[in-house]
Amino acid sequence: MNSDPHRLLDEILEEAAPPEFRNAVLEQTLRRVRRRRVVRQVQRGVAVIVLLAALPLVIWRTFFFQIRDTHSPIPKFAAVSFRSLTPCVLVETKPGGVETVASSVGTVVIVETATIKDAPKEITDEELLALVARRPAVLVRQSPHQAELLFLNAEDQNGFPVQ
Amino acid sequence: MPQDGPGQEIDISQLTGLMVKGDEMAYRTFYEFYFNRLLRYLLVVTGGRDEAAREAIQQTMLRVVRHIRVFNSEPTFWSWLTVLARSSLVDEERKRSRYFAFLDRFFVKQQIEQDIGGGNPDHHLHDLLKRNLQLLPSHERELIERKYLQTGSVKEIACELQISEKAIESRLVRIRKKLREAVLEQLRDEL
Repeated sequence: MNSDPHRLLDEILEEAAPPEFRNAVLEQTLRRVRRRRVVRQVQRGVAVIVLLAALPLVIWRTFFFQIRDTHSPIPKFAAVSFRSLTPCVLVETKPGGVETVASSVGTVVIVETATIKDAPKEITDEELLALVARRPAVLVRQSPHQAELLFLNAEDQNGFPVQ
Repeated sequence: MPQDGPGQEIDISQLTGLMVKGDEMAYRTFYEFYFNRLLRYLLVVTGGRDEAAREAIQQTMLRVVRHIRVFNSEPTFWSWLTVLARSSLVDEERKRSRYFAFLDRFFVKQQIEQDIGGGNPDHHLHDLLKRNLQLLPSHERELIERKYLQTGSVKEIACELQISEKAIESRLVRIRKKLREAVLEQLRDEL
């Protein structure tokens, strides 16, 4: 058995598996191979369909929610930490503590000036002394534009009728 | 590289890779290279029960389709195939409700395989064949040796012996049948 060590053995054992049986086994094997190939193709097709169906949803969710998020002023979440405060840093308010001052329109008075018919008349020193003729008084001129009227009687300082 | 097949070498990783993809030609190649080898293996494991071996090899082929993956070395691939073959055989025996009896025989068989050296069923089959060739009558042994050991054609042998080719063919069939029965019988006796 130098050239083909298995040939004799195979031919001797051929009846253990006759050609019809061998062909049947081969055909059965190939049928199974084809079926598995079809199943795999179907699985692949279904996967592609699912992917194609899911892709728009994923894109919509991704982009739509991202855009909304960028325009939203409210953050998605925020961490809040608490700690108790000492009474000295607490500020309390209570009603009525501050007096409210309200202003109204009627408090403002408009004053108009107009020419007076009988405007006050400037009098001379003599006319002044004439008015107090019956009372002892002295007119002291301190400067050309300044003078002081002095009453000698103290009671005249409170006023007296003028003629 | 596998020992069987039509005389060329095959790349196991490429072959198994194509089988994984469901390539029919790759399965045909696999079949050419491994069917006989698996059958021989199963005949030894079943103790020459050719019917059990046939059922097991059918299941083995289907399991190959279901579980095939890429292998980078031929010994690993062959080892995987023998695992599939043995598990197929156990399942077939279980179906026949002879599972426990089979397990007993299987473990005895494992002991025999260790005894025959390395547990290689092919070696054991060749030993049995050699032994039975020696038991043949000299004219039959000579005919077999001319045909298979000296690789002579039937036409050449017929010319030398001055007998018709048809007669040579029928003699060869008869001798092969005798050898087959003797080998299978001895396998059965071992269990």
